[in-house]
Amino acid sequence: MELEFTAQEQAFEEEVQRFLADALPPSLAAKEAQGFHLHREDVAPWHQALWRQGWIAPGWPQRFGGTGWSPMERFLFERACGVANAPEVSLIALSMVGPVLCEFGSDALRERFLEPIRRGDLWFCQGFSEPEAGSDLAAVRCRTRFEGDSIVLNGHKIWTTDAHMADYMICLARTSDAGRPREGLSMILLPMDAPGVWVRPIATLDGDHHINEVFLEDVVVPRENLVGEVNSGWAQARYLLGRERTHNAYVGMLRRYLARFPGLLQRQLAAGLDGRVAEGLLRDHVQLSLDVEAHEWSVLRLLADEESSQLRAGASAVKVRGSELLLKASELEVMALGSQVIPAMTPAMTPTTAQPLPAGAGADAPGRVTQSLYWRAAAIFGGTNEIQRGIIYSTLFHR
Amino acid sequence: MDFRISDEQRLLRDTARRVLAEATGTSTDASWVQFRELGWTALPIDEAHDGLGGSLVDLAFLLEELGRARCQVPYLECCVMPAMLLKGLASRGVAEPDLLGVLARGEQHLGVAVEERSAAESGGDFSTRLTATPSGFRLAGEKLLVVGGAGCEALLVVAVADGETCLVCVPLDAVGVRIRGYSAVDGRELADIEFVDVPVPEAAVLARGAAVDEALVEAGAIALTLQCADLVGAMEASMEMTAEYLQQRQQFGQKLASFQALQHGMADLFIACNEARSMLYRTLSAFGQADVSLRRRAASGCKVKVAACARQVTGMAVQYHGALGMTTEYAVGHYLRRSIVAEQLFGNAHHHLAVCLADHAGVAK
Ligand SMILES: Cc1cc2nc3c(=O)[nH]c(=O)nc-3n(C[C@H](O)[C@H](O)[C@H](O)COP(=O)(O)OP(=O)(O)OC[C@H]3O[C@@H](n4cnc5c(N)ncnc54)[C@H](O)[C@@H]3O)c2cc1C
Repeated sequence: MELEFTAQEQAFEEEVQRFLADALPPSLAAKEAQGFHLHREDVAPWHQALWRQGWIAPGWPQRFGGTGWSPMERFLFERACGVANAPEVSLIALSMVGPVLCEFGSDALRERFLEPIRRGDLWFCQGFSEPEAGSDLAAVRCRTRFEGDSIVLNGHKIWTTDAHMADYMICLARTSDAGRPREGLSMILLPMDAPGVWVRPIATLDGDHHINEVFLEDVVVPRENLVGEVNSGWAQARYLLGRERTHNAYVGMLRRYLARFPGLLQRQLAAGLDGRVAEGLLRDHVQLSLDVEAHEWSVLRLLADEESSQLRAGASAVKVRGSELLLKASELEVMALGSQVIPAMTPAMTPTTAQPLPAGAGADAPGRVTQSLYWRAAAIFGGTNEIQRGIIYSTLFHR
Repeated sequence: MDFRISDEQRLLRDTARRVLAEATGTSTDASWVQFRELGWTALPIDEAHDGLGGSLVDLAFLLEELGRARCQVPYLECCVMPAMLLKGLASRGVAEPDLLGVLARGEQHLGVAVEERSAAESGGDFSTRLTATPSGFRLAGEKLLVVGGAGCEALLVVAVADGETCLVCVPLDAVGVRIRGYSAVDGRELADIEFVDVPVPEAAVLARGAAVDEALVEAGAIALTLQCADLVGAMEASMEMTAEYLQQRQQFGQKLASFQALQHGMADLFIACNEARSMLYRTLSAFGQADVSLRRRAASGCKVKVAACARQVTGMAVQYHGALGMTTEYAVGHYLRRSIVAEQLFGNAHHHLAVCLADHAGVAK
């Protein structure tokens, strides 16, 4: 056993931190920290900076522009980004579409998509879920018809994050009714500006706009936009899940919350918060820090471990805990602010803009409830926590 | 970072699991013999004193197995802890009469007597006193909850002399030593020990002052961490036992294991066990740090987290066994008892959370 980061890993982390200090625009970091949903144009400068540095696609194979980092280095990178309030860049394109094309895509598709994705010219959304296919993804219905060199799609996607900003959808569609349901699915790259694509926003509890419904009516896409072999969509999705074991653990985000809490509490004390109340909050904070430390080491164990049979269960465990801890961390901030969080707030409300903050709300208040409500989704997307518990049971104990 | 265990560690773990599974329920003395024969008494001690120079990680592996087997031998308290105290003194230049060799060779076991009626912190004001009289030193006071105390040949007693903490080695058969032995909730042997003007030869006063205070903190942090390793073993064993039981027990015409509520409950037990193990590794890693206070805080944090996980897992293990879990004849409840004792021994979660909180004293004032 070697329970410490190597000197090389430590040096790497410092290099990343220096880069973040230089290249991450402070105004963007502040906006990200506040926690309202960012727009494509907000994130663009940061995407450019990562691209120029050659760090935009760490998870890709090196010959397609990946960095060649070890899993541990990727973790250190993501953690440092989280702590520094760097926003996530075009997650679906970089963590999903890219790796799938690298592994399964034709040369023509790689040629068309990989470089524009890396440059930040193409944004993707993920069209998997449908009204009748949530946890049971194999029930996807979205129909396809092959006509000459084209595929014609008809279907209804829902909960599609950022469909309103995306250039393309990676769409999970039914290409066969033979065999088991999961054996008849394919991934298809679908341009969002194609005729017959209708996007309808869905308002969420947090008050932001992230997700949408997408209706596909006789949408025609070229046959070559189908990724890899026909009917291999399920295998491709599984491949992705196996690679992104620890992304949903949110270690960087959790560290961000922990790092800023003492400051937030101090400001509340200065503004008159009762010392006894602060003591209770601090106790919860310390307890949470210990939970996060244990959680972080669960992630490290997953990264370093290449042989364990517990890998799959471990990945599900950190997904569950990541979402639970995020909710706790964000709710602790809400608690510390007390009644300041009652007024509905928007990103436009700041002490300096035309739309002022309500009188009772200090500068720390905007975004706190929004973010805390949003984190409930972390227990739902990417396989709900109930589904994860099912996976844990069946990998470890089922006979 | 590399979590793979070495071949030697695997051998240690597998041997311990096999031997302890066979020995569970046998008498304490027989097992101390095995501990010596297997080299475990030598494990925490350096080669210079006939030890094997095992690492803290090695010890953690062994302790996990002791927890898993619900072993009653007070190995942590009467071998590892005194060894760590003596090592701490040695590293501060204090010579000792080769008690380390005695421990390593398994010739004697030494109880560590720290706790008192009015809970004193290490470095704080112990009421047990060592006083110089014209006819030599005398020890007077009372120590509580000395694990394995009645079964040892001698005790390392923490006392105060002229306002300084000191460590005194007292044979159990010395004049004026009164022992009241009793069992803990989990069956381990404890003792309260009274010292009524016990005559102490000068050579038995092993050390005084800062060296003792520091060695106590250091050994305390190690003991706390290894106690958590024991709990990790205990909770994993109770989880596995429960999974097994759900496969066997039939109700409503099917295996209990077919009910999803129980499956998800088992998943939660895995999550808790997994986090406790992660916390243990995180704490073992912290022992690479030079600063003693950082190690102490890390160990305190470990106790807070691991004790909570152990209570959750061993408690639900009882629940999922139904009434059978409540019986003393069946093993699963004994893991709950073991966690309850461990939870309170060496300071409970509230105590150690307060240690962690002291770190943030600047914020809430
Ligand atoms: C903010 C947000 C963003 C999203 N973004 C996207 C996106 O970009 N693209 C996309 O394709 N999808 C997206 N999703 C959808 C997400 O993947 C689904 O919501 C998720 O898979 C669950 O499906 P469902 O909502 O239909 O819930 P259901 O599957 O209907 O589940 C409802 C409840 O029942 C439980 N449940 C279901 N099956 C079982 C079972 N077998 N055993 C026990 N309990 C069960 C669930 O855990 C849940 O609590 C997003 C969701 C949210 C909230």
